[in-house]
Amino acid sequence: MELLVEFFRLVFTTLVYPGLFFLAVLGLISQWYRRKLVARLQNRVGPKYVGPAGILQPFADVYKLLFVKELVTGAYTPARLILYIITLGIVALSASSALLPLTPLYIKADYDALVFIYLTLYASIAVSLIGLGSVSPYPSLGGVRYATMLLVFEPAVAISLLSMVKVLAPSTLSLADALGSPNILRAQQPLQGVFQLATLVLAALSFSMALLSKMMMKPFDIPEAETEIAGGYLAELSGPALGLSILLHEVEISLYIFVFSNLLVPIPPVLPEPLSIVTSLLKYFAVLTILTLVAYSMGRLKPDQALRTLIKVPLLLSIISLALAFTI
Amino acid sequence: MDALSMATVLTTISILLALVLWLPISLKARIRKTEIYLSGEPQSMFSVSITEVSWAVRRVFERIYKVLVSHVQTGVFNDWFALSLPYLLMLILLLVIVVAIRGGGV
Repeated sequence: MELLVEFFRLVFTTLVYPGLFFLAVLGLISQWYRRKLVARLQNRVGPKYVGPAGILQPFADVYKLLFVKELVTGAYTPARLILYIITLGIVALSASSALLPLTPLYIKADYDALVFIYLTLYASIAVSLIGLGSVSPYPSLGGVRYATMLLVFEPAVAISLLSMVKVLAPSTLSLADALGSPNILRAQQPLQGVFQLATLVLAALSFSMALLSKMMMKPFDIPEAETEIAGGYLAELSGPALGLSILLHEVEISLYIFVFSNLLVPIPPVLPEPLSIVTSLLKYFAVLTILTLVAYSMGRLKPDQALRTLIKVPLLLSIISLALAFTI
Repeated sequence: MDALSMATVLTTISILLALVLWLPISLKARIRKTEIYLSGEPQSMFSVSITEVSWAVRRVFERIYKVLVSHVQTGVFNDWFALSLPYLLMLILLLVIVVAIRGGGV
């Protein structure tokens, strides 16, 4: 009986809150926000017609792709397998949100930051498999480009996340402890505090750069370069497969920025919960705005330039921050 | 719950829930497959026979075949004998060993 209750608790957190439903809604609202922000920068209107100020436009797009449009693929593309891979990526991301201390239902263990990194890896692999699953050269090229970048940005993301968690929750390496930690610096000596702050700053810089690459935002949007490889890994997708891919992308963005913003700015919560949803969302949109502004003020790098930049800056910074985190 | 069992439980739940969500989407999806573009020719014009599947095997054995042809099919008996001599010597050696072990009688 207890096992069954535990199972349904995990199913609820995975599918509803703070899982699939919450992340999908947050992700699609974030997409609208990003599009509106960039439209303002480029002197355009942006989404306008569906809902107040066009806020429901991303929802309408995904609904239409999922339930109305047909899926057109090449003769030798395993369409149903691709649909399953994308769904698995979305659900694995949603399952990893069970580690976020947003409700009393969250789960926690020592070293669970590693479990979070492991579960979110499914989404990255799904994105490269979407491209490689097609027989057309453009999606395959997009998939290969993403898989190549993945070898650099994924270690950078993982190492910098571990460094931040190590500083905020040194004894347990638990994501929930790190996110719920109200006091950023609990140093006994001033020198230790300086080192902790330096570690956090280095890890945050590395994480944000690697995140731009993971989210395929400029200057690292080479896997979906529209003018060069016709949309890359998304080029041959349509109907439900395209709808799910968009959803996967948005869920990934919302989850990562949510975790990052709350690790970066551990403001004490207003409400008695370990992680207050209001302050968390405020931090989320602040970080999203900064990342979007940074991304859209740059042009696209070439694949070799992007790889070199990723190795030189985020990967190196993350390794330094990890070394610092385990030294102090 | 420790980290390893947490990872196992969450992976199992992910795979199962993905299956549950995927089934209705996959069954309901209208899938249209497009043929490969072959300069306007119909795809039915092209077929792959079962012998074509052995292409890679033939490719591997091609080198051995070429060596044999260049050494044996020269029209000179000595070429054939030179190539076969080590093989024949090996057979004789094997025969001697067998006889030495088992003895000469039947």
